Amino acid sequence: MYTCLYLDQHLSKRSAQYSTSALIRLAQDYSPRIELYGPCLVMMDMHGMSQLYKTPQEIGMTLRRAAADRGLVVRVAVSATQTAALLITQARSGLTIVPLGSEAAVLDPLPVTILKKLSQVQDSSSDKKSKRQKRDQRDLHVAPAVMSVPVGVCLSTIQRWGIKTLGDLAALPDQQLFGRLGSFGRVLQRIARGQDERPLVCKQGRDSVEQAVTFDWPIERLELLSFELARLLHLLCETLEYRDECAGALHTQLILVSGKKYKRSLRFATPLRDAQELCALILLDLEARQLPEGVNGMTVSIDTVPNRKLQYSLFTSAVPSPERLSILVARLKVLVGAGRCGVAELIDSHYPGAFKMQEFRPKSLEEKHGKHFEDKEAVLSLLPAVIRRFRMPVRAQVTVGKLSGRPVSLTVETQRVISGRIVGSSGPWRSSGNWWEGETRNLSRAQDHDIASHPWNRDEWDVVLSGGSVYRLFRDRLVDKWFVEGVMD
Amino acid sequence: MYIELHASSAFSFLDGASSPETLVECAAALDYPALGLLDRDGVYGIPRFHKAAVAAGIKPIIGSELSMRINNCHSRNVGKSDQGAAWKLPVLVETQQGYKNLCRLITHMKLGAAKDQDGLSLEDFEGHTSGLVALVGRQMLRGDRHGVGGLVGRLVGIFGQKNVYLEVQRHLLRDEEHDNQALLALASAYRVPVVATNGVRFARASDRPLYDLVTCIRHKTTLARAGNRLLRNAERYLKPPTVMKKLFSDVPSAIRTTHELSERLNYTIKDLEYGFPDYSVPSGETVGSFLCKITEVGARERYRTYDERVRKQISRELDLINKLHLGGYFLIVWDIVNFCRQHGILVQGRGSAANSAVCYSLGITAVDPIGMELLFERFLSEERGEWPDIDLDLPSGERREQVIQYIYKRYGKFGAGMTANVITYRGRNAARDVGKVLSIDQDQVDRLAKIMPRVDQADLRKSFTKCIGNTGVDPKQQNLNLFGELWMRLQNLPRHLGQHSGGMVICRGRLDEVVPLERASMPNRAVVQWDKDDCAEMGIVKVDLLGLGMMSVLEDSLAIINTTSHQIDLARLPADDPMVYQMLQAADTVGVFQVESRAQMATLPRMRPERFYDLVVEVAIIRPGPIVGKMVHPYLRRRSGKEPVTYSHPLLKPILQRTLGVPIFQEQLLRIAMVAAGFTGGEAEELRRAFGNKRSKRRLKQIEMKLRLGMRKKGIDGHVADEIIRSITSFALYGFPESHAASFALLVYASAYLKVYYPAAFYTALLNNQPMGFYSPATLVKDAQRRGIRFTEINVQASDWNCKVDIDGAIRLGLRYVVGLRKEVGLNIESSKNMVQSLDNVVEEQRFCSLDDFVSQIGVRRDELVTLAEIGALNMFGYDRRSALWQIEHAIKKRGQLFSESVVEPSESPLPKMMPSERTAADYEGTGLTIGPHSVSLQRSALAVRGVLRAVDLLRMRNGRRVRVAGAVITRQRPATAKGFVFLTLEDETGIVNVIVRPKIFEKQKTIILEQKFLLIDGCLQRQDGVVSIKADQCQSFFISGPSIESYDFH
Repeated sequence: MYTCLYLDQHLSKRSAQYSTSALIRLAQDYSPRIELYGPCLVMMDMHGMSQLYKTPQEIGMTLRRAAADRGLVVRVAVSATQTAALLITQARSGLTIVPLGSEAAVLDPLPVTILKKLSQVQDSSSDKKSKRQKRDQRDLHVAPAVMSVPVGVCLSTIQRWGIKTLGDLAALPDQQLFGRLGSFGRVLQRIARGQDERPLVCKQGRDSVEQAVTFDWPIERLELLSFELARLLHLLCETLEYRDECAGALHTQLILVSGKKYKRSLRFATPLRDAQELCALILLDLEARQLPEGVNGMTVSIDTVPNRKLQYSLFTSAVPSPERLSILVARLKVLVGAGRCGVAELIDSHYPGAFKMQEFRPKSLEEKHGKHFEDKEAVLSLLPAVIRRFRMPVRAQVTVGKLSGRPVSLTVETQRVISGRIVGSSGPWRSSGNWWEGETRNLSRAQDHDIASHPWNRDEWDVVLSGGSVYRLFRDRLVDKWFVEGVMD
Repeated sequence: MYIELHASSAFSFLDGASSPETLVECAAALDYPALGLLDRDGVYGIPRFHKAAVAAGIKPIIGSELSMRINNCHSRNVGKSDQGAAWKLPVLVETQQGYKNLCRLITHMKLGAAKDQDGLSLEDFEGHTSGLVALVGRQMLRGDRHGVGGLVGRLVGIFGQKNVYLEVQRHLLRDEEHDNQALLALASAYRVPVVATNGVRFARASDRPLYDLVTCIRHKTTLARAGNRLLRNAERYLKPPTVMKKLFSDVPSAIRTTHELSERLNYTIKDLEYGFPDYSVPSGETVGSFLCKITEVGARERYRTYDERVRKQISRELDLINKLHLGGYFLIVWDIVNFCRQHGILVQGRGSAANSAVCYSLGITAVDPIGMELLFERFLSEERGEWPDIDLDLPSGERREQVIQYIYKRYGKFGAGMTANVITYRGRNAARDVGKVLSIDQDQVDRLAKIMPRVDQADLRKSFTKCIGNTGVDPKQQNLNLFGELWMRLQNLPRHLGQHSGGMVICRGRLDEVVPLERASMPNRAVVQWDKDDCAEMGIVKVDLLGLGMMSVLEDSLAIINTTSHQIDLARLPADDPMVYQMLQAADTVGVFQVESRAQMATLPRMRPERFYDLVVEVAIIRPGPIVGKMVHPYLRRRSGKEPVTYSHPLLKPILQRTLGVPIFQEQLLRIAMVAAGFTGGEAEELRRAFGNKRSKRRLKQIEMKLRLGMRKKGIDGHVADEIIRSITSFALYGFPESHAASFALLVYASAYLKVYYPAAFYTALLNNQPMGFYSPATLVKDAQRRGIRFTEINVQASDWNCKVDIDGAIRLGLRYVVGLRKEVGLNIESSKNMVQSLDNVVEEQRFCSLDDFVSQIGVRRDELVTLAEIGALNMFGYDRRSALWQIEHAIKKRGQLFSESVVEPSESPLPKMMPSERTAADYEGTGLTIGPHSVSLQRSALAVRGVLRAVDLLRMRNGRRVRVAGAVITRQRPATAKGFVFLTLEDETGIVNVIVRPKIFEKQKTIILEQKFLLIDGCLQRQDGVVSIKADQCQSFFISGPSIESYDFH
């Protein structure tokens, strides 16, 4: 006897994950042999339960009641075969008991299109599909082990034949059907007759590991919270070790005194399983954001990923472990702010010195000793001079020769060192762009990383002062002001 | 004095942002004495540049930027997109020979390489550099195959020391200046002069956004992502000479050289050495005498009463032809027409050629211009000094291609070419491209593309905001103003080069020395780089070979009819047959040439044509000219006697008498100018052109003055003169030539005649030449069935690829209508033959013995087989459609040799038979039409309960009655002249229903009207002069799951 549980609710993706976990727990409470067929779809093997539940009706009613107690509305089908139970849950709500030996008769009026629901979801993320197609696909449910046939192709042929119900399909002559659709046809027909193709495979879907705690008194300080956090993470990491898995992401949910929920999620570049490190990361993250009020409870859940496998080499240079590096980067971000920590990368723009910050990822040894390294050396050797840019261009007063139109003297009031008579100049080198952006850039407010997303129009000059130092000046033509951009080595 | 020698226009196709005219205008404003136009890999803009420059008093210098290839060598700065053509070599034309060489080099590049991979190698220049001057600039530094120095040396070797200049440009860029120093050093080392240019890509600095826009379109990217592909600054504009002089103050010789070089470059396109090919005449004959002879022979044949009037007209025409040395041209067109006749290809000249009695005598045209009193000056006049325009209508498709290939064969690969069609930015395509570049959401771009053509460019901002508001797009959105601005500036800029539908130019000698040739998208064709107007401007003769679907239909119909005992000749159809006119008066014209449109069908019952000339008027009257000029209703009222026939002036009576005092044809306009204002024929034609093109306001004013003056001399003044001028100005642009209408009217009569007397052949030919006309094949089949034509289904044992008429007179549908069936498979089926022994031991010829035999013989795919089974094409093997579907799944399975004969299949299938509605749906899905019951008839009982009337019932209803009708939508029309009214045509099993939807109702129920295949309409019946239509009050959908019927929308 098999019982199929199928959640009878339209849920968001996130809620569906949560509900599936709840459904699994429910199923596990009543049977040790369960199989997860797909999101919100669980098959239970109820053989040998006759001492506990006298009739299939009783099994079904018990499960529905238990589900309702947990806030779940489920469809339940009890049948001698998995296939019949599965198909019935896809077609009917409530509780359905399929009498022994009547599987085919019960399935008979169901439309053949129901077979579509058993097909695998493929390419659901493909951009080329329409919204409607994607929505349809979201409604499909995965039962890979039951349906390994290309239902789409076979079903269109079957529909073309004028076959409308599973009964019509079941009634087709076996041999002739096999001669036309091959083994796929036979499988489909067996399914239409409610016959099982394979036994139940006890398998539990990967779910998140979770621990929760509720406090008697609100905790207002992070240090006090850290003790409880460490305890929870210790328990979670023990579970991970037992399952030989690691944490790919960690979700913390704090229940605040006001009843509001405060959620944080961390995703790790490398899988982690050390409770102390995980604790440090959560605390650093919380430290960067002041807790708004006291905490009444806490839930920590971990998205598990397979354990990391490492093969160290004799020739690998000593670099900080990924765990330590993650903590270091997290600390730096706390110090300097998000978007200001990482690696500078040039962006495709004519704006002088335009760059953006990328996440810091250490290069492997091969990359370091490979082509890039050689190229870098070659590039450095070719450069005639290096300009050291001021982090913010310095406002300057420049006198321009009346006849020549070239700058003749430079004065920077805030830094007298870079003032003086100009004895040589090269320019103007003109650049302008982003004319399609509406707002004119304000140099005093602009952040380095978004400086190139505003219109600009400037003339650059490379000037030699009487003292021998070389500077790069530019005149912002939009606001008609001079700036010193950097100094040449 | 600085002269800009390196400017590129928008004819560099997305690599320039100003038209040649704008560049010339700017150059004139800056007092340039000369300007050099060098477009990328072509001379596309040269005719327009030449014309504008001459008008502005600037010396036009021509050249081109040639794409150069780097062969298997290391190159720096060559990105992925630059592979193949890697650097540009600007060349300027010094002499006639130089121009020829340039054209040949470009032709070599364009014809020798696959699209987008073109480029010349230095070897290609060998022997083709005479008269060309090369500007070696910064671009050359990218092509460092031989080392930069070596490359300069090589170029000096190829072009000669005096013909190579080192080109330096200054756009205020650091790296460019670095390269300039290298170029100056090279110039000194190789002792070649340095010349300064600015590499102009747009006329004014303010055009930089437009150039960035086209750059993004060229690179298929957005402004936000274009990055370094955009220009670094806006310095590539046409700078004042003083600014250039200041920029190159350290190299003054570079400025001086521009002047010296421009003095050398004296070639102008006016010196184009184009000649029309000679026609080889029999010995002892001249072109003139031979033309006279064959014209006379033809005239005697065509004019059975070859009287003095005809003789005089032909003699007058021949005199003018000989005087203008156009005899060869007529002979060549005659030769083409002869080729068509010899190969059984229908041909008919149209356009202004139909005004010529010589053309009629030579068999080029089919309308007698003397009998119809057509004006010869419309065709040819001494004053105009232009080549005459002869258009030939040919059957579309393969037969037209046969004629084109004959011309290529006769005049050589480099002696003929198709004229180009420059695709320019207009409302919709401009909106789409601008939207993409500005990263506007795709849905919004679609909406904007729909409204932009309606935006008034004169008052863009206000009109734009108003239009935007109606579409639901937020007008305050950040990018929209920029969108509107760029869209407006992009208007009329060239986007790419296409091929003209039929214009062909031929040349004595090599055409590729007159204008470069390019590879066309169709095989074995070449396109010249100029469009038809530019060709005409340059004095190149064009013959239009236009494909006309109806010519194919007529030809195919004749072929079918003449295989039977009946034999007919299109040239000898009985004139003014009453049955034909009866059909036309009843507007039963689905499938008839030109008069099958909704508007024509609504006019025919009011017009009630009774003779051939009525058809000429009918063809010409439903056109924008008469509609905009409000001539239609006055003519129809006068015709039906509801309004008296009056004339503005007694002088106009002889001209307008035939059209009841209402001007309808262009020729009438010319005659009015000749009679009322004393214009000569040539002057009148000039007048038409001037008003038609509206190019120069000053010119228009001049002509109007001349017209008024002439009329005053004849005593026409005041109100009458004003009225004549108004009718001329409103009519000149859209008026239809009488000769053209007469040529079309012949086809109208011929097609109507065939429809009346040989409907099976006519419909068969129509079905074999789809797509064409206004109606889908499904509608044509239903129309034919209502006329009593029988159709038989597609059947692999009997159907050919094309439809055919069976011995019993029924039309057998062809395999071409099977959706997804490959043509080669269809032809395979058609050509299969087997000898089969029947049960009575009679051996008969059949294509296939069984389904298995069919599958094994023909390389048919599973999907094709499924469609054939679904539409009943396999029923002849003893199955119904479902059984066939069941059997093919078995037949298509590949079996090994061992089991090939062992599997015995029961012949009955366990599947249910198709219901009638399923069969109809399968027919539409598999063939796009059905010969079974109309899909609406399947719903008739349900519709009758709802009080829905049939199309045939409406004929008995009185005017003003409220009715409810329903049918499949076969056309949706919204003519620009109809003030927002929408016209729908519904079809049911008994006929078609015309529905008029008012703008308010349309706006309210737009989605239903545009998207539903079947509509149920409530409205008021209108009956006007025998035309029945329904004025819709409400539209609703029905039969939502019905078959998908193709409709002809908004064409």
